[in-house]
Amino acid sequence: MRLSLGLALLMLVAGFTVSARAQEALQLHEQEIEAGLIYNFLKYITWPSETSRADVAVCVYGEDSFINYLQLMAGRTVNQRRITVRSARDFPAAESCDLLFINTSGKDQWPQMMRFLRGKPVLTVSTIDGFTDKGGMIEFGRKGSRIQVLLNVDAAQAARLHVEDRLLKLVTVTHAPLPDEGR
Amino acid sequence: MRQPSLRLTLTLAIGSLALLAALLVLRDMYVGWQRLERVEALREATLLGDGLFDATEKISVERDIGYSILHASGKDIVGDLSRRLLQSRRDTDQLFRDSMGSLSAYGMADLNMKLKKAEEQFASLQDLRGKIDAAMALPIAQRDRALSQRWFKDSTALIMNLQELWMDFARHYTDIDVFMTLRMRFKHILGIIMDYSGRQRSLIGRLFAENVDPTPEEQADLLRWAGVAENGWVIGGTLADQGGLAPGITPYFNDALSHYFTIHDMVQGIFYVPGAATRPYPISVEFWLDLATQANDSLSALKDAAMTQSRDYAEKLEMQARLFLLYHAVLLFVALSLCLYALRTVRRRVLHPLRDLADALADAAEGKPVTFISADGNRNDEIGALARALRALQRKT
Repeated sequence: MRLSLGLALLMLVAGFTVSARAQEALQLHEQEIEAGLIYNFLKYITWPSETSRADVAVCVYGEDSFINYLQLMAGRTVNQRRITVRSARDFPAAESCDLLFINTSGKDQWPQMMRFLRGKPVLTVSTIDGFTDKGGMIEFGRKGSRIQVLLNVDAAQAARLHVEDRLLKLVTVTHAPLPDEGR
Repeated sequence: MRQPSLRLTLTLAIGSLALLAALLVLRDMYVGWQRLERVEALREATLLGDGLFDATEKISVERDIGYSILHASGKDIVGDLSRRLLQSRRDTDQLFRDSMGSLSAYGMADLNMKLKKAEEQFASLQDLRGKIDAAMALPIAQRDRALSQRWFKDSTALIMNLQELWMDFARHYTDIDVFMTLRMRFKHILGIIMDYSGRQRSLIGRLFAENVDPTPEEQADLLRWAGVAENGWVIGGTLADQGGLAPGITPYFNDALSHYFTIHDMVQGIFYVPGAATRPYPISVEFWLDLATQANDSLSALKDAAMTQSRDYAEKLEMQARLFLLYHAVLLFVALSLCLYALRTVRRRVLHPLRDLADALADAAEGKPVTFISADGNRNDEIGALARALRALQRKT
């Protein structure tokens, strides 16, 4: 009886371990795909011509392993512009980015950050839940087991970013006016 | 033996020089004319090659969609893929027919076998299209799995045959210009990259559609195809440099290369690492096909840039050959004009005055009153000196 109980417990632990590993692997694969999608955002979103530079700066706000996936893109080119990847440690550093990824650890600073970046042509992307409802532009969400990309076109337009139709095929378009506008 | 007259001697000498100059220039003009004909043929062949290349690309796209649709089950997915499939079929049909017609018109005997084979392969694909449509009406469980394998195999065989056909055709034009030859090779390598990235795209699309793990054989295929495509990028870069394409296409080359590797990195962990696949997959097949199509668009932009560069270069070669001919025609005209001018001058300034002096001397010998020199009396040359000497002699006698 004790032996079978022990075996059952062992199988349960093993099952949890395998499931946890599978979950971990799935998350890694999701991050690989999300990093790749960033490239498509850069390709099919046009920044105002006066802010266009030879390099396109992709920044990550806050500490996150996601930057490791983005680093694979560093040195590659999109629309004939070289991609650079760096961390944005504070708001002024974020201002000089073309695309800013805000990780979940930056969730509390987001309202302040959003006010700071208002009207500036910085494409904001995050996995923060409800990001597009809170003034963010692109949110990596989940629909069932699959990645869902939400795009708040109002926020993108307010930042003078033009989204091409090719990208609209990949995303779910949402309309959410910037929070402060309603006040 | 009677000596030839001075008139005949001078006429012969100047005429011979004129003939020699004309022959030399005409020889160069003949060479230039031959080159112009070859360059014109090369330019036409470049356009035909581009058409064949486009047809190959469209077949590759149709292969990807056809392969994925046979494994797709959701109504939305099938509906979306069906629309894409119909469009790609229309594109394929038009480009294939156009390029085959143009290629047949050349009547190159060494291409006949491959041309005939391509027509047969295409007819077989059209037959398979009907079977795919029939299969789509069935639930996924009742569809014949062998059909998708046959579709993939047959369409890949047609793509490879068309690539070989293009190489055999291009071989007729490799002795004209070394840069153009390198550019044709670059295009061939680009075709290989498109084919092998398409193969990866198709198989991954099927795995997404079926939501199954890749088998070890499929994973080996993916790794091998990725290896061929990556080698293609390296060789393509070298050929673009050597063929003088680099300045014009580098931005497109870098973009297409970046896009290819970014898409590859997205699914690297899932499909290219043995045992790493985890399901359910985080994206759908139509999402994947959209991403893959966008990466293919970057490749198409590179292809278009390379084709434009090659066409411009072929036009430049043709223009150079025409200018060469024009230059030599002008040279011939100038040479002949100079000879005619020399002949006329010698006759007018030497032969005629000598004849007049001789006639005057003959008249003088007969005791007739003679004026030795008229218009040429003031000439400051040998004829003028002779006229003045004879006039002095006339005055003394």
